[in-house]
Amino acid sequence: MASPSNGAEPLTIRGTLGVASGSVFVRRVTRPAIWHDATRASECLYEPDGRVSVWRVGNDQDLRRVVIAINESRESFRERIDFLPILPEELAAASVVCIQTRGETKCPAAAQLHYDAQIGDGNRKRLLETLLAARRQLGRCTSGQMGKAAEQSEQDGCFAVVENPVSCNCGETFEASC
Amino acid sequence: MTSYLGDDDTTDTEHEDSWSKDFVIQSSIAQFSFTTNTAHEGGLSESATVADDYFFTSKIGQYLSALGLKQKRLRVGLASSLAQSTNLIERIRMVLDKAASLRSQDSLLAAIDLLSELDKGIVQMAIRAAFEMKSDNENVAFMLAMAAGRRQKRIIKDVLLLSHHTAMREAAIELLASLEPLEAKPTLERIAEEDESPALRKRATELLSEFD
Repeated sequence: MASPSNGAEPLTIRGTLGVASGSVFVRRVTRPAIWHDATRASECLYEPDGRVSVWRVGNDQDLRRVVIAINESRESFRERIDFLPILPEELAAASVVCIQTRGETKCPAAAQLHYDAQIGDGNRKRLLETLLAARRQLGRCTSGQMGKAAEQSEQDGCFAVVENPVSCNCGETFEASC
Repeated sequence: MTSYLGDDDTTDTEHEDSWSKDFVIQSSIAQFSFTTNTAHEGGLSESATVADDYFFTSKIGQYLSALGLKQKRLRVGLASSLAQSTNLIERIRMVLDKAASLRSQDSLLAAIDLLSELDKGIVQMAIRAAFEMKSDNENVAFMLAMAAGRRQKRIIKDVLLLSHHTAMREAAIELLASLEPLEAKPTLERIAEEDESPALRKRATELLSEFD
């Protein structure tokens, strides 16, 4: 059960990710400081097999589902998360193909928002240049915001948060998802 | 011998791994079963250790490449295996080296989450590394500091922030953001003004904006 987080701003694409509302891909970043180091920034987009895990967020509700799905596997739903937001047109400009793959989460709605971005040495450099030219900043969800998101998801009956779910406000029923 | 099956939710593949590990170890035992002298008993023990290390490394590779709930399931078994390990420091080092070699943001976080579950070993390792002159791999230093700082909050300011390793101070800054504003804000302000690394100064400034 999440503790009260009344003072935290709600998660929004504009406020949390710093990009205009609309569809955006987000990549979780573990070492946010390297984004400020031009010689290391490309590591945010690196995976040894070239399949970079990203989530497609179309609205504020998607964003909440995605952050809950990410923290579902962590110690607490309140863990802070840093994101690199990437616009679909920026991926296209760098010839990055995104393949939809089911996310590892109990939330069926969030699972459908997961993609593997195919990023190798060539298109990583192009994508990085595009993002740096756009002066892209990292977005972040604070612990307080995460607590508030977990409370809302619990009220919805989200399968990722509730222990014995029956149905969720997203329209899923337990039987349907099994 | 370390057990890898601390988790009820282990998959078939995991059982197969466990089975094949037992097979290799038993093969090693069979290979030497005709001997009784101490030197060969030493060889037997060595073979078992090599097999144990091999399967541990393989399990770590699987864990670090997994995401979400699959990763969480694997973590339960690995954390239990690590906690019971007789060569804990070597095993921690294996986790750190493997995650650092992958250079993936997801793998780094997976390693931090795993090592944060350890009660002992990790904090002592981080304290020693913080003041060693030898420069560790940056990702190793970051993971070590993050895991240790999550286990023991007092080392964030008293040890990690004083380290000459930039990656350890970087971890300290991230950990500071999870402390109470009264405790974190003055320190972040100082870092934002004084740290020798421009990237850390910028990151501290970013985190300070959360307290406005």
